[in-house]
This record gives sequence, structure tokens and C-alpha cells, in this order.
Amino acid sequence: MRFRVLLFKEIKEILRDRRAIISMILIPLIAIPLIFLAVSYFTASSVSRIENSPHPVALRPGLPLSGLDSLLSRAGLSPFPSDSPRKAVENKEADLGIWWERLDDGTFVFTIYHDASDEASGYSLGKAKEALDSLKEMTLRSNMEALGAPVWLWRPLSVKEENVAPPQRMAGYIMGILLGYLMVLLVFTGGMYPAMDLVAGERERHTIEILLSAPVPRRIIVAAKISAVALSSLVTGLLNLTSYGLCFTFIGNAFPDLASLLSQMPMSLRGFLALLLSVVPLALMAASVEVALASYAKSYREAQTYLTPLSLIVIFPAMASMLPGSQLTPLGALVPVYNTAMTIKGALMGSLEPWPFILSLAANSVYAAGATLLAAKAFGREGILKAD
Amino acid sequence: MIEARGLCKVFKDKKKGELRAVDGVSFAVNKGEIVALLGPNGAGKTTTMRLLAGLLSPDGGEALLGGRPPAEAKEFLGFLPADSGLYNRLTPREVLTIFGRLSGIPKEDLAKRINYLSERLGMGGFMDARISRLSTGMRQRVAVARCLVHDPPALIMDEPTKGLDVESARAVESFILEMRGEGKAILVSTHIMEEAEFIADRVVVITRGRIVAEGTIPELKRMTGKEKLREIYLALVGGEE
Repeated sequence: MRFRVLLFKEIKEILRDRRAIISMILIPLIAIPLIFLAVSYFTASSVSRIENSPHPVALRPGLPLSGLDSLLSRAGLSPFPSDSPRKAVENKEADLGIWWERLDDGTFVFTIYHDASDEASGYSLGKAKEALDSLKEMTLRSNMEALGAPVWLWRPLSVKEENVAPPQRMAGYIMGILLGYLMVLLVFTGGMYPAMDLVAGERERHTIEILLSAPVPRRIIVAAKISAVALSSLVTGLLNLTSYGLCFTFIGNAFPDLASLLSQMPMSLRGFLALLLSVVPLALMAASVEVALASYAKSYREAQTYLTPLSLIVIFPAMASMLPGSQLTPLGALVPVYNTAMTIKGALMGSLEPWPFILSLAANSVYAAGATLLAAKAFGREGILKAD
Repeated sequence: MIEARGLCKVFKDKKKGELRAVDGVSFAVNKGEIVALLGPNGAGKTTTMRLLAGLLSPDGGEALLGGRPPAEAKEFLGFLPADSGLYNRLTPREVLTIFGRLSGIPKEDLAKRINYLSERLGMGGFMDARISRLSTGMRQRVAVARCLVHDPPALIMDEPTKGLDVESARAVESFILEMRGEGKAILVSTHIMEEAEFIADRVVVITRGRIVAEGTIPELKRMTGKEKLREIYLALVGGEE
């Protein structure tokens, strides 16, 4: 009962703390969608502006090979004859300049002048390369046919590529990589402000003494604080993920391929439960470590100094989960943070093996218990009564 | 009810070395009695009170509340620390409810107790306002109510009128006297000699962690040959304040 009273007290304090509300609720629910909307709007309008605007290409006239003009036009470019294509690009008269020369052996060398600092020039460069590749293919075919050479002689093989992964698996792969990394980071960062406020803030505001004089064992006080911080971490993580999910769903205009892929993301009940199960011990561990560190700080500001490096430390194992080809091995299942990111990745890809998952769950539960003891010890020190 | 038996507390500091903050302090506060703990800054008053409240563990001797170690008898005690902070984001009613529930008071009894304290301490007008918006005097009344919400038989109050104007200080002092009338054992520390003279039945003077005198004010007058408590105090602590 006393644990519940304390937990409600801590949650009430968090919900009335402007800083916690901003980082926990306002950022994921308002700031992230606004940023996504702004980015998708500007990306979409910029892409459409580039696609719909004319793309003049200064082309040296008199090319003996036929068809380049029509290939460039078909690619959406507007070729015009110019004796100095390079100058035309430098003077912004054209997106691209194409200069050609015929060598003594009868071959042609094409030089494309472009401006790498100009988006329209970059767009036209890609289109012009495709047109020149087609011209090369057309010329080769017409030369070989004129010589009567069979196709197998001048094109002995061709390569085809086919992705056998179903769209669901691809979506799981992409989201697994992103979500695994994001979730572990959010769990750590989401609990930081509440931990600083509920522990160092309590010391700074001189309320710790009245709390400790209440007829409640310190282990219950610290358990309530850890639970409130862990709850904040989970809420922050879930709100952020929901926000990202909704944003991705509604940005089809800007990234249609990604949006359609994500709409097919697999999430079985088993996968979702595995995800939740793996995140809870991580949240408890993160909250305990944060409470332990904050217990050594006499003020909110000092706590920031102790806790900020933590988010940098967890980035490394979280990033390791994003490495291509990484799999959750029994040894990897013992590495905190990395194991959770890998479990989330595996759960979303549908490739989670039972034993590494169980091992990672067991390891994280042991780490969480150890971190809780550490927090209880740090909070139980007599030095906790000292304040700035 | 409140008892210190040869209490000792040593703080270790990497730069300053060992500091004996409390060194063999013994005294008792009985039911229906107010004892004032007087001493200069750094004399060991707050440490003694924290030892008696079970916030610190003694390095020697023992602290007792109703004959039990403080850690096991916290429900017997109402503790008002010096510079008492309050939860600024909560309302007085919420603070009193939380601390009442932590002391195990049933809901209905707690509501009655909160209403009684609100009425008695004149808090009716701001019971549901955020504490951050209250004046120093209002906050101190909430702090006093907080340490009394579970109606403890013993009270330890570290400078209960610190920072208050004369009127608010007198209201708190009157309330402390009323609590004595209800049979509570009350230990108060103060720097205000008039306050000690007004409310205390006995005075314990402490300096450098040791008790230098203890008794009723008439006893201390006889002991030092001085008339005013201020002069008595200065004579006992060697003019340190």
C-alpha cells in the first residue's frame, strides 16, 4: 500500500514537472510530427519542383551517333546546341553540359559538366548518364547487327536480380534495425529527466529529509522512484515509437516506397510480447542506474553532468545491433542494451531464436536486479541528506 | 519518550579528516514537555535531531523513541527539519494525504485529521493551491501540519519559526504549546532566545557536539548568575554567537 502511495506521489510530481512533460509527451506527440511534416512537405515540394522544372542541357552539336537528342528529351531533359557546354553550366544557362570528342581509333569520349552544388544539376546528371548508357547500347547493337554478329557473341551474358524476401520481411528488417536502436535509446533518455528530478531534485528542494523521516523503509522509497522512472521511460519510448509510426504512415507523398513497405510490417502477437518482455527489464535496469547515479548528485544540474554521458555510452551497443549481418548469439545475449536491440530486431524480422531470447531476458533481469541493489545502496547512504 | 543516551556521530571528510559532530550527548524529553536545544551554528543540534529521527545511525550510544530505536518507531515521531522543503508541485491537501497514508491512517480518519489541522492552523484558504504559490508563513504552517498529520506522541522540530514574521512565528509557537497540552514530548531547536524562554520547559545547551548545560531556565540562571537567557547562553557557549 505504501509503495502505491509513493508511486502515485512520484507520478504526480512527474506529470506536474514542465521539463518532464516536454521531453516525455510534448516532444513525441507534437514536436516530432511537426518536424516530420515539415521535412516531408519540404522534401516533396523540392522533389516536385526539380522534376517539373525545365532541365536545359548544353550539347556540342554535330554528333555522328544518332539518337542522343531524343534519348535526353525522353529523360525529361532539354538539349540545345552549344559550342561551350562547360561555360553554359558555369553561367547557369544549363543544368549540364555534354562535350564529345572522337579519338583516332574511332571511339567517342563524352565529358559531362555538372555543378555538384546544384540539386537540379545532380538530378539531370543521373538522367543524362542513363541516356548515354542507352546510346552506348543502341550504337553497339546497330554496329553488331551491321556486321552480322550474333547476340551471344557480343553479349554473352546478362545479370538479373530478384529479391526473394517477402515485403513483410523487408519491412521487419528495416523497422527492426531502426526500432531496436531507437527503443533502447529512448528507454534510457526517457528516464533521465524524471530520475534527476525525483532524486537529485528532491535533495535540491530539501524534501528528501521529510520523505526519509516517514515511516517507510528506504527500499520501498527507492523502489517507488525506480518504478516511476521506468514507467516514464516506457511511456516515452512507446509515445515516440507511436509518433514515428504515425509519421511514417502519413508521409507517403515524400517517401512512397518506404511508406508502402512499412504498411506491411509484420507484428505478430508473439513478436509484440517478445518486444515488451525484452524492454521491461531494460527499462528497470536503466531506471535503477539513473536513480543510482542521481543519488550522488546534490542538485539537478550536477545530476545532468552524471547522467548525460550515460546516453552516449549506450549508443555504442545499440549501434552494434545495426551492423549488417549481426545475429543474436548466446554470448551477445549477455551484453546489456545490445541484446535488447537485437531481440527487438529479431522479433520484428520473425527470426528470433528462443534460446538467445531467453538467455537475454534472464541476463537483463539479473542486471536489472543488480542495478536495483546498486540504486538502493546509493540512495541508502547517509550522504543523501546533504544538499547544495 | 525521546531519549539520547551517550549519542556519538563522527563524519569523515577527505579534506577535513574526522569530525565528531556529536560527542556523548545524553538527555530525555518526557511526555507533555518541551525541551529547547540551543547552540551555535555547527554545534551538532541538527545532527542530534537527525540521529533521534533515525535519519542517521549513531557511531556510539543510542537514540530511543518510546523506548525503541528510531528506525523502528518512526510512526511515533513527527519530524520537522530545518529549511524544510515541501513538494511545490503538490497541494497542502495532497501532501497531508500522502504522509497520512504513509503512516497507515485509514482514509476516513485521515480526512477528519486533515480538516482538523487545516482549521486549527488556518490553512482552509489554500488547502488546494499548489505549494509553490504559497507565502513563507503559509508554507511553514503546511510543514507543521505535515509532521502532525499522523498525530504522533513525539515531535522533533528544527528551527520551526525560521524565516517567519513575528505574527506567524507566534502562531506556530502557540500551536507547539497546545501540542504540549495534549501530552506530546517536543524537542525544539532554535536560535531565538525569546522563543526558547516562551515555550521551553527545559533547555539543553550544546556546543562542539557536547552538552555544556541542561536544566530549567531558573536552574540555568542560578548556575550562571545571569538573568536573561541570551546572557546565560553566551556565558555557556563562551560568546561564540
